[in-house]
Amino acid sequence: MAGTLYSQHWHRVADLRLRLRRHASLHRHEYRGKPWYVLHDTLTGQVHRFTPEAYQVIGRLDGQRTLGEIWQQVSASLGDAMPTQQEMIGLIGRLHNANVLAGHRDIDIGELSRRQRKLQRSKWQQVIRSPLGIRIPLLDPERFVAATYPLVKPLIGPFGAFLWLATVGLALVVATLHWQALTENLADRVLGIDNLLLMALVYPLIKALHELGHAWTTKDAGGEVHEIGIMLLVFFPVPYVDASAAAACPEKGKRMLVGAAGILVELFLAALAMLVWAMAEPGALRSLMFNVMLIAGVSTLLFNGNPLLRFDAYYVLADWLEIPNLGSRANRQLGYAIKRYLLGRRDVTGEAGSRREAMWLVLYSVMSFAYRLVIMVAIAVFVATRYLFVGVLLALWSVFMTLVFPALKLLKAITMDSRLEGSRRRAWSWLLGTLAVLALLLFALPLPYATVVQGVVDSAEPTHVRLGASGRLNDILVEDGDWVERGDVLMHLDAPELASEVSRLEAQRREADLRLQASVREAQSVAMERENLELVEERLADARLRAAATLVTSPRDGRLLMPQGRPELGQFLQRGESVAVVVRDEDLRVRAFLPVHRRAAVNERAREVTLRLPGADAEVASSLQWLSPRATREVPSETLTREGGGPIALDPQAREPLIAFRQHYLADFDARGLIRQELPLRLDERVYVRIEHPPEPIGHRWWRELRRHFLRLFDR
Amino acid sequence: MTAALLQRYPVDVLHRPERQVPPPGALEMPWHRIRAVCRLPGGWQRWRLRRALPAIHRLGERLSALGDVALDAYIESLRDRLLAEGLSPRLSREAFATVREVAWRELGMAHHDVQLMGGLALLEGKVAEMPTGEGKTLTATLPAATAALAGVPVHVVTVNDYLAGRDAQAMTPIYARLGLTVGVVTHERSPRQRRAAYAADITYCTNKELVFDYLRDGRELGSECTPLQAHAASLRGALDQHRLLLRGLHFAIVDEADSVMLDEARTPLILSGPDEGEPLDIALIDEVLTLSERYREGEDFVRESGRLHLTEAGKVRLVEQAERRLAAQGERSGWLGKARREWLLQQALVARHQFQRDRHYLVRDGQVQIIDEHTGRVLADRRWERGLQQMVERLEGCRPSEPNRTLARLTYQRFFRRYQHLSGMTGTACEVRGELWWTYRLRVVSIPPHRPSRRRHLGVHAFDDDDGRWQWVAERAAQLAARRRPVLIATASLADSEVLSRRLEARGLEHAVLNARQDAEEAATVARAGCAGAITVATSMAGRGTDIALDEEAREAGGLHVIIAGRHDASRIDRQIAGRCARQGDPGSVEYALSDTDPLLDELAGWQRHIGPLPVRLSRAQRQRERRHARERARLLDADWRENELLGFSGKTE
Repeated sequence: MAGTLYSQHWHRVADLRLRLRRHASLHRHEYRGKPWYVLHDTLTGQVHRFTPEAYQVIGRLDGQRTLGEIWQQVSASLGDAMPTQQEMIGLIGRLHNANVLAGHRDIDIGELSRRQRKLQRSKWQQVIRSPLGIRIPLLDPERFVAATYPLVKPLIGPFGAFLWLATVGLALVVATLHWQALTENLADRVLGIDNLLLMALVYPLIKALHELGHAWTTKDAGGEVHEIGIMLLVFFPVPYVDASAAAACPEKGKRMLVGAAGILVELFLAALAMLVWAMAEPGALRSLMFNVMLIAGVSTLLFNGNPLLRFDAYYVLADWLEIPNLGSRANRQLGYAIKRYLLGRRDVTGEAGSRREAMWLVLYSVMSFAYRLVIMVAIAVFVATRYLFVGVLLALWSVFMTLVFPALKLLKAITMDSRLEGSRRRAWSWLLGTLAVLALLLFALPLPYATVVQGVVDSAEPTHVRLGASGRLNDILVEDGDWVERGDVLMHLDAPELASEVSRLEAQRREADLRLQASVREAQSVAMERENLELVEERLADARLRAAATLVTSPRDGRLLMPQGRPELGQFLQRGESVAVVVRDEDLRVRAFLPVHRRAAVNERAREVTLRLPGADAEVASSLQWLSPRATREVPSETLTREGGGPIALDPQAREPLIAFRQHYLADFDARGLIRQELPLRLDERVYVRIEHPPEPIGHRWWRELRRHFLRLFDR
Repeated sequence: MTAALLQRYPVDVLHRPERQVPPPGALEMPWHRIRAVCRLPGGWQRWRLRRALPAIHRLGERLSALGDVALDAYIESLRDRLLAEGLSPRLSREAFATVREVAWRELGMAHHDVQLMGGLALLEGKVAEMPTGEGKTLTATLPAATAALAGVPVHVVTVNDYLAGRDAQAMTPIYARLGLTVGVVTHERSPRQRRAAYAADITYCTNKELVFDYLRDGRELGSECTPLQAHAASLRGALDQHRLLLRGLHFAIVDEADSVMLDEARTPLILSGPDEGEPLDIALIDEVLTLSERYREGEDFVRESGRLHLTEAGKVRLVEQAERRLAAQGERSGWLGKARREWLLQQALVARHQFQRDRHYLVRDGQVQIIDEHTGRVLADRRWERGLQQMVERLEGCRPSEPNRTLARLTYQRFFRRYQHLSGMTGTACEVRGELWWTYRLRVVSIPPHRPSRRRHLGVHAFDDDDGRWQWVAERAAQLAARRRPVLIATASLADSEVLSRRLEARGLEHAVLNARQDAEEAATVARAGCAGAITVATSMAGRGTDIALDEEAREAGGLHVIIAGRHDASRIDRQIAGRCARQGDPGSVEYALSDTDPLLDELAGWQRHIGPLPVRLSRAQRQRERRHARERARLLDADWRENELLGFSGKTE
């Protein structure tokens, strides 16, 4: 019960003799197990819901009794639930605004014109408030709907349900069978130019059927549809239909059907298209069907199927929960909860009849607000980037209307609303307290802050171990990462043809030697044989050298690393191939590819740097050694690219390999810690580099990120 | 100054011109709150008003040279020109000079410069803030006579009948010489007399009578609310135009504007008639009163910012009680209906705990009469809303009066805005200049005093309890009276004034008492209050408009001494009382005697009530109460507009 029993203004209404106008009819409904009375204005199709207590009053409005008498009678008949005078006035005021009262005076021109002006003004205000969702009523489809309704009627019922289920079920089965073909290369097909044209042709047809679905089911629920039109949603025409008359229907199922009809029709169309698509040959028909599927299936579920926006699913949900006007009542309930529990006021009443309903309402209110916020930001960004100048203006306006305007309203309510008198201080302290806590969390509480990038192990001057001979790998004497000295034997190559060549040449040398001894008397032959012997010895030395190279030795002191991995034993290796590198510890480093916006932080505010190898828990301290003075797009190693499992996207249009899409800086970090840790190190290996900055409140970071993203939107 | 200062409209009971005030839009209130802060500096406004003075004085010199006959002829010609051309700045200066000259010749009082400035401010539709005792009554004659000469009916609105009668009587010679008629509307006047008074060029009336007459006219007119409809109804005989009183709302000069427009505006004016419908169930009232006796504060009900609320426990208890009684008395009794029960009980609790005898009401001749908390006067014919009056009467053992039915209701906030031209004057407006702007669109201009004030503030005396305070006050009064100084002691409530009176009696001090119970000889008491050695004990009745004239001996002795024993609801009321002394260059002094048991301290909650020096706490409490009252006014107006929007279907506006 709101307020006191007696109203100060009762004298103004007590003597009125009112009656309902003839075009208003009452229906009994049931919501959440309680009876309600729904007043249906058959002229305008508007519907208003009243409690049984209100019905006691409305039923007595016969033009004979005065309101005062009615109040007395109702008070006596209702007992404990008797209405206060204030509630009576509120009720009559609602009826009056709904234009269903008559009787006390013939026509009050002044009042009528005032209301008309108010209505027009509110329509304009609606347009101004949401310029991204303007409704343009087009025509009255009632006659068409009435004429075609008998044709559709058989489909609304068990037969229709069976047909629908069968078709959609079959389509789902077919869809799973053709899943590969269906999803492959989706983006390309959807956004192709010729496809967009097809979509533009198919789209109005599908949406028209969708709206007609609403209209026919409304007819089925006993209502009439008098307005069909186009809503410009983000400049995109979407048809709509005014199916509010369906609310007069007492059957919950039928009302839900009206809400769901659009989605059902579209899904049915999508299912039919699916079946045709699966059977058709590639060509115009097939791609047409694909588009029907896309629009009718996917877009419907994404758009109309979300109850958090005020489209079809919202009405279905409201009817299912039996909470009409879910959105506005949810908001009011939230307001009530705030006033009652945060401000501790006793003189407010909630919307909900039960605790459960209250929970539903508050939950819905909060969730839909959050969701709308997300959608709004997405739409604003989309519009702003698409239509630069007007778009930015419109986006700013819609941000203003969804965020700033409610905030201003809240401020006004807190400072001015006389209903908040007495709780003003509490309201302010809640508001300022919440803001202060938020601000404190965002801008004063320092939180750990770090930059994490990926790098690769890299050496400043690597010395490769190249093979002096081709041969089969016989033995490896060292392990990856071992410390080797110059001349140390690293591996054995098995090259039998080299040994036989050496022994053949040794035999040739012996032969030549013998020939030289035999021809000692002939001076001319001696010279020839001596030359021959020299030749053979030269070849022998060369062969011996090559044979010796089957023992692979280290070219210098350092750490032996095998970037390509340890070669397998028995593998045939070509001469000149590099099987390992020997690097000196001081030359080892971790080279990271740093996003441009991180450079300043890493350069100026690095506190400590830790390295971690993938799969290892141990973290190793390190330090920044060098930061490239200019940005580059050349990726130092394939390990860092998306293809190599890293984070860097490559430019698909680049002619050369390993060119990143965005600019980066190179940063080198000290790798000695890794070596000291005796971790198995490989060149080109991925290393996670974490650069710890001084703790910083999260708000500053968000602000920087926001600014960066925002600027990037317009950076073309 | 604009070319035409006052727009003129037809003056006629049927045409009844008044300003149409549309309901405020969403941004109107914030906008006017901002505008309230952005105002022209007072010095600039005064300079603007002062600019007109030389011209008036020049004209005045010319006029003083005229003989009586020539002056009459001049007045005649001035009136003709004003009627023909309307009020222009030039003509208004001429009219001011003429009124000044006439006042000098008829009353021996010529308007001072500050009064001329005040008059100009009033003519411009502003609130002139003139220090107490600067002769506001005389100031009002300037714009009133000027407008009346131009054919605009003027309502001079004051706070009580005594002031209306006194001012009208005192100023009639001026108006008569100017050829203007004066009417007075006070409570006891008959409808015929009222009609005649409203038909006069200048009408002195009280705010309450004015609004009630307006509401009565509204009842008479019924649904014929536009001039055209009214004429039509009059022609076909459905409306008797001789029964109508007012001739429209043209120009009002509201004396004590802050009191009328703000303090009293917290409660709407309700025109009521006998209720034939529902006879009052006295047995039910008695039952509820008995039940309410058992309700404990803090347990069954709580007081939050001046209101009573039932707690959940209290509601549960009520339900139990009601069920028992319903079972005993059958389903048709008054215990039926949750809303009705709770309302009844709440009223009973208010009657029992909120209203105090001799503070909020007094019992006289077996009747409960309400005391106006601002003026300290009895509100004759005023009753509390249905049931409450009877409950208080039962508690006091009086015969319950017949219940009343509301016939029409109007708030001052909306009534005064309907005037085509509105202005006001007061001694205390600077604290409320913001509120005056956003509720009435009135700007405040501070007018400097004619002569520097010789009022001495003798400080504040704090006492732990009432006993000590009264003792000290009585001693102090005796001391000063022995020095032949007149003493005025202002108490916050009727009960206090009577306690003090008994104290003085015990000491054998001769004194007069002016309060709601002893209001018959108000004029005589006030007249004696300025005699040497006189002691007067008064409630806030002796505040606004009370002119205590000193005799020669008293002036020699140091003038009137005012002791304010207890702060009132608003610091403005205290300042008004202090303004009774040191008027128009007389000497005088003020001091405060405060007690730690002052009910005003209830306004403070928790630690605030006990920490800090008493005067500081009391001023804090007073500020708190002022703010609360301002909030109540804002809420009332807001609710009024909202209801009005909702009640668009009723066709009635009040």
